[in-house]
Amino acid sequence: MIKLFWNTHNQKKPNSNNNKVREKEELDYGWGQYHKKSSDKWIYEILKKIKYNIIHSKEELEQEDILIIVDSSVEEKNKIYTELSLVCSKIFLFHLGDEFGFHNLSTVYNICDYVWRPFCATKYFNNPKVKCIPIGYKSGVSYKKESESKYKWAFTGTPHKSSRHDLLFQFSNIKPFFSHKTEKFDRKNISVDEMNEVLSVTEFIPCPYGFFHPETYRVFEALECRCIPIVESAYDYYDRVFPDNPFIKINMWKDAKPILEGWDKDQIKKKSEECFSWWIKKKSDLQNSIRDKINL
Amino acid sequence: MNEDVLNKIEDLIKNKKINQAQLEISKLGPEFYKNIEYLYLRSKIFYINKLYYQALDALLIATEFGEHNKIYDLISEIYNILGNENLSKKISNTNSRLQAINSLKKEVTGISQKEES
Repeated sequence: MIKLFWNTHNQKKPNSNNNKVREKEELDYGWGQYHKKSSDKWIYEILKKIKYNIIHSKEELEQEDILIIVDSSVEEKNKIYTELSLVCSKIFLFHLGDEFGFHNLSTVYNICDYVWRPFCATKYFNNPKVKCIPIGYKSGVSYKKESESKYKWAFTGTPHKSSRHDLLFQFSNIKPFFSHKTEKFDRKNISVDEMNEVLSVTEFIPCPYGFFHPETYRVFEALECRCIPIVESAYDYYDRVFPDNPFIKINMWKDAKPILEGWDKDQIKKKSEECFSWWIKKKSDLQNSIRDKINL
Repeated sequence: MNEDVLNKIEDLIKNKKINQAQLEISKLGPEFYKNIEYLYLRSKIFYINKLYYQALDALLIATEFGEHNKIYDLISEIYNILGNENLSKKISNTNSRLQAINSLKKEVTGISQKEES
């Protein structure tokens, strides 16, 4: 039987007396909760073509079960994975988080039959056991019914580092726009409903790099809501991970200004449809490839 | 020892052996992360590769550890390329650069080493 176990939020509660260890425990605990809250819709969507039973603890596993496990901070969980390998005939891991990619994950990855993960890195491009998947959209983000566009562009998030600062500088005269700056990641965000209202009536979404990694939810939220993502082309990240993507790519935010200011309604509609069709196909291809791998 | 390694990388950049310079600098560990010269050379490589935002981030971090004209000059040059001429001018002017950089760093979070620690 195929069973799905969501394990990101089952982190050990921070209890170490060692400050450094406790800090890591607190981070892992917080991120584990965050991934459950933010990524469940996305992960369940890409698993749509698989039949599985959801379990809530590893005690519900039986000998020879095939396990789909959604997890984070796996660098701390060698023991659990070793135990799982004694029971399950196959283990398929969806590894969330790990934006920095600093940890040695080989022990856990070697135990698993296959791993899907966002935040691709060079070491995973040619790894036959690891496939990079989009980080997806945050749970709840969805397109509202078709209506006239209201905003030329929108940005919500932390204006950290120079790219985001320059983006806000360059685009500030291109109106109308929606901007909601937050002081820190995941603090004082706008609600998902408000986000849906905004994205569903916005034409372009500039998608600067994340704090460390190029990939952010923003790109896939834009696609989900039929906006046109404008991404930074540094390191050709998006072209390497999603080779046929139709996103607008720029080196400097000023390169995007003629597009935002100059494209007419037909050009915008055509690009928006191209991006949305690509995203629908991308999701379907991903669902099929996951189904084929797990049902092999 | 640190200086020798950085001099070697600087020579590689001067001789336009950018890939080799990049390879050498990528071998350096955390003991260099607060070294102004290391941050400058990293940003120089980013700049040559037209990775302007990455170059700016490294330069702004470098300003946390000291004041060097070549750091401010490169920041100013990059802002000019990006089309922010006003900020570029303020940073190139020795009388206004400190104030301009400090005010910039207040707006650009994720740079200040104080807030990180």
